[in-house]
Amino acid sequence: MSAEPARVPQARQGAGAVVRWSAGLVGSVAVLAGLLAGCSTSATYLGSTGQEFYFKAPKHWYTLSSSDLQSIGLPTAAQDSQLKAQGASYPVYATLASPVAHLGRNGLAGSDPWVLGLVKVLGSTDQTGTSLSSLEDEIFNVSGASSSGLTVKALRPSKLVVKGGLRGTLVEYQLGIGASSLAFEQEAVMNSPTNKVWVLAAGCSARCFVSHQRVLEGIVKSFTVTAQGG
Amino acid sequence: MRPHPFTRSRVALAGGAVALTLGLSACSSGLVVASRADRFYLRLPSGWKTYYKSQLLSNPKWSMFALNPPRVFLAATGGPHPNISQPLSSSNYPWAVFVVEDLAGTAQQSLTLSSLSDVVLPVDQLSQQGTPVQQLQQGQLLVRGALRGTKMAYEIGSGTGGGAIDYQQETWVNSATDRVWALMVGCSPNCYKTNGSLIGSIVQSFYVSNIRIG
Repeated sequence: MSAEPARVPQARQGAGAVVRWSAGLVGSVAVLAGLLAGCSTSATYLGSTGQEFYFKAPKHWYTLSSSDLQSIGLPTAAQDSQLKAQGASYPVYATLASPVAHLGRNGLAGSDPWVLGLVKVLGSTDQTGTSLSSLEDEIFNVSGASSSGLTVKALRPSKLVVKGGLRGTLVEYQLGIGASSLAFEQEAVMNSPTNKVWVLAAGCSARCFVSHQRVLEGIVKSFTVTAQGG
Repeated sequence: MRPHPFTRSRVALAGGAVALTLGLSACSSGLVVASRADRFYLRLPSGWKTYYKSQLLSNPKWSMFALNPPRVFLAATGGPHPNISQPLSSSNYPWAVFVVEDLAGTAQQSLTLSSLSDVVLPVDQLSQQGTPVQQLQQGQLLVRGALRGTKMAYEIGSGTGGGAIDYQQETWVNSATDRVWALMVGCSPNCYKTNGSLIGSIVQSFYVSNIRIG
């Protein structure tokens, strides 16, 4: 169930984008989803009140396991502890949901849509060096993919997002071509002190993305960060 | 946190439809430079000679700003024989340079907290080109609501060889990252040591409002 490293764009490694997947974090998703379950809607609310964000996924979607996260190239909790100890950026929250309980062998570039929510605390280097343009690299290294020869196609112009003290971008990209390509939409915002980033990405293979574009764009549209940002 | 100076200066600034208002504040001595529209306030020592955007842009020393003129551009200097070349020089008398710039495109997309130091002088570029650059004090991160910024102090150039500039710079940027405000106050290294208190008080007077006034 691992992704194909040679063909499938991997989630960004190292200090750029890492995910800590703990029982506590899973719990906060479950609590939030449970609290809102009584609101007979066609969506499941995912996110974290502690991390001040939520988004809506279709009701029948599953929240995937930590092994699924690891299989798509996201580092383990042990690595995250090291990053934190070094003063580097580290994730404080991550959740991955999809209509299937496990992503197929093509991982994020497979035929099943997915949504990934990530909250990251920025270390001092990233705090002083993060710009609006670099937000597109928070999960997938878009700029790195382009310079390494992978075909990168912007599916829409980058849009500036400003909500009070929060600022960010809304982007839509296709990475690679053909059957192994990945398409995704991503909204990422950071706060005024530039020490915290909230990211929501939704996508799948390019063909799947076209089929599920309305659903995926709806999920990203529901992305709400309740933090003041200042 | 500093008091809200727009309130204190309301009488002096009221009724001004001009983008930039200069006047003597009734509350204390000094030259107030402020704009409601551009949401800033600062106070210069009384007696300082000020130079405006049109004067600066028509002078060869400031030609580097002519290609992309700042929205607001002001320089000022003290001393017995002020001239337009003293600001941003190793003068024996303190000076100030103030800019408000609109950002768009790549400048907006690529701006970082780190690059705020380069808004007036390209400090990073100068350092890479071999100009001695020394940080005089630890940089400070500034946050006021949706505004973010930095306060830095640098020595640019060789302090022993003459021609070096010591200065403090406070720079703010809005959430949309489409406008920056930067105030530089400095002079020669010796002058900077002697006038540290005055330079600090000018920077301390600088205020950018988080909300639109008027």
